Amino acid sequence: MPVYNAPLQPRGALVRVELSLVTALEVELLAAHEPVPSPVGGWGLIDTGASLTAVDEMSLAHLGVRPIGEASVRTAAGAATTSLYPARLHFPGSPLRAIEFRRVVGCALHAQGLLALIGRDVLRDCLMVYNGTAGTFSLAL
Amino acid sequence: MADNQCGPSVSVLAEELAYFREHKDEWLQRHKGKFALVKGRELIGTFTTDQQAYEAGVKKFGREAFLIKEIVEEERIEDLPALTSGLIDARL
Repeated sequence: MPVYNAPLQPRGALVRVELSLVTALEVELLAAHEPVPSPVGGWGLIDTGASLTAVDEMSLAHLGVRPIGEASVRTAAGAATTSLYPARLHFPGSPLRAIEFRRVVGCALHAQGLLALIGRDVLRDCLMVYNGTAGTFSLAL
Repeated sequence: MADNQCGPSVSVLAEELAYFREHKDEWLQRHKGKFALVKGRELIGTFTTDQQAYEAGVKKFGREAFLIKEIVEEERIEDLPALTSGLIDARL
């Protein structure tokens, strides 16, 4: 299992990520001789509190990704609904494999300087070591 | 929900979501646990996995919006506390 090691940042465990179309859509676009948009790069923050991964909605729109459903999300004021999208995340500069998501939550993350919040739907297939005393983290996926 | 965080419900799929809700009880009888692929006011098919449903939708509709939704009695509520509580970048 490839392992990515990195120093912890003031905001936590950050990894470089690239957002792109899922394979099924890319294949259909290529078959239809339509252009495939270039991936969008940014930062992903590992969020152990998130049950689902969230991705910046503006970047999804930039890629032309349309929503495929909705999710109920728990808030202080009760459950709210939000959009779900298909997406693929790569981890450039690391040995981690790309992940295809049937559903990620679309959120306005760009103002936070983030492209993705990486949730427990990813972490359930990972081994993660958060070494606070050494100021590092390791992710095996 | 904090402003400028998770988006509102998917208005682009309003017709599909309304159709799903109208027929959910009926579909629960015949397709419980399957994933419905809905376009407009039409059930295109039901599939064992959401991946199968998505691939069928992309093949038929390309980039157009379509709905994929699991046919279950109780929908799961997701947790995104950092976003919904506005905790990202919080300074204590």
